[in-house]
Amino acid sequence: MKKLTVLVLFNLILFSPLFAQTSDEKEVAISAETLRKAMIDADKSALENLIADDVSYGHSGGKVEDKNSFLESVLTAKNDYKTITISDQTIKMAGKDLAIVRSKFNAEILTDGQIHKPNLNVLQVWQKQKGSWKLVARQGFILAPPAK
Amino acid sequence: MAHAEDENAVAGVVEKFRQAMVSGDESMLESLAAEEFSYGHFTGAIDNKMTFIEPLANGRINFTRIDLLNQTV
Repeated sequence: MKKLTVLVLFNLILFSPLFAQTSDEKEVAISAETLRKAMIDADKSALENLIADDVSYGHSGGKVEDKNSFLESVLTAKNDYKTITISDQTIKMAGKDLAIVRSKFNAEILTDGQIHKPNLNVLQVWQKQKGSWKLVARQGFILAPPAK
Repeated sequence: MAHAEDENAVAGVVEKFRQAMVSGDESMLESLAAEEFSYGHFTGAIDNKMTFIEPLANGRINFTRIDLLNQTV
């Protein structure tokens, strides 16, 4: 009886909707986490792998970078990401090959000797290209102050 | 060339979408928004397809004007 209870509990935990992430969603979550680390580590090959050739990388200030420009600014430490904290992340599949990822994004970035601490919301669009998830679009934005 | 045709087609649906938002055209919005549609407001609120279309269709939210500038496709 005890064994059965344990088994039932185990299954409840394992198959609870709370933990129900599809394998695609898990892959996207891993790719997003790998990208976060690669931006901090300025890991060229990981960035090359995760960023689509046609990426549109939009900063909250309005600047939009293509792949070359984004990689250059991260790799030459023009934008040196000291920390990046992602929270409240949601992943929503749109078909098998497209994922909509939203999160909060807090970072410490050293730019031209100055530390910036952006506190943003981010929308990412990931696309499965030839079996691998690639970041095709990203836009950071600052929330409007609450209406008075 | 096929690329340019696709880009024109996308620019066309973006313009249709803009018009549908202003006029609150429910069937046009239904046909242009994906089932998985995620519409983020600058307040932080996120709408899905249903919660996005409903207030536009019933007039609770009425865009009197939308201008899209400097668009790239």
